[in-house]
Amino acid sequence: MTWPASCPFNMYNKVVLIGNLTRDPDLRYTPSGIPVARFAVAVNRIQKKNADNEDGGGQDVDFINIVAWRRLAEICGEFLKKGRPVAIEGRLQISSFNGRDGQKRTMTEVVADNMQMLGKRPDGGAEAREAAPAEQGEEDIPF
Amino acid sequence: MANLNRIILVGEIATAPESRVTVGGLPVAKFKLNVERPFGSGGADVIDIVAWRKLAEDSASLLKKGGVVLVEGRIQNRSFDDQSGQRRWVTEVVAKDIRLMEKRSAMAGKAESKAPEAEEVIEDNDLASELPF
Repeated sequence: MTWPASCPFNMYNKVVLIGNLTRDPDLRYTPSGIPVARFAVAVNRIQKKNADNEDGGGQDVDFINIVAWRRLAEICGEFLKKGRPVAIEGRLQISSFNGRDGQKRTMTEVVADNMQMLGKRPDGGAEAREAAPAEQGEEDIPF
Repeated sequence: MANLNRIILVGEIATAPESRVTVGGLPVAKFKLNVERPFGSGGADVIDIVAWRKLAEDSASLLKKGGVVLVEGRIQNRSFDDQSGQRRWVTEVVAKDIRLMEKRSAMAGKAESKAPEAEEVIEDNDLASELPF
């Protein structure tokens, strides 16, 4: 298959993560009123039994920053809590900005376009509820 | 709860792979992948890719700047101390599989902008990312 580099469709960026929230989501609003929620998910690495000699004493968990916008941000802010297991679907985004010291910095985060809570509900109710970012009325939230 | 960390990227190689061998003798290759953002959002993300072992050797010999590839792997955060002793964090994608999205001959025809490809020994702190897969 040939796929010319000039073709505008030569891109794909999809991330799927399952892990636990390291903190409660921080829900804020942009000056124009758009909700944005930020949190991080701890994702354990797969442990291989005979890894120790090559691993170089590396870490065994990755903390991945997540950002959600609009309705999904509000849902995350309302229902996600530190420690709860969650599945995140989105894309990897790298943004650069100038830090307070004037130095150029980059920030890497996963922009969520789908979120699903995993495990039991805190009140012991049903399993796994999904929240889609689509425009929904308050009544439509499956909780 | 089983954890999952999976990413699939298709993009254009922004810098030709730089291949090295760790002190432990493992081949490692690094390159940057330019992934356009979805329509409407504009711009592109330049994402660091790391490959190990056979994948590193193949990347170094086959991948050229400007080529389009599919990269499958996982997102990894790691820290290291830079020359000034400051702790810095990097996020990179550790590749599990890389596929050419164009013919080998087309890839080989890309501008030769060979990166230094030497038996260079990398710093210890880079070993932190050495994980088997």
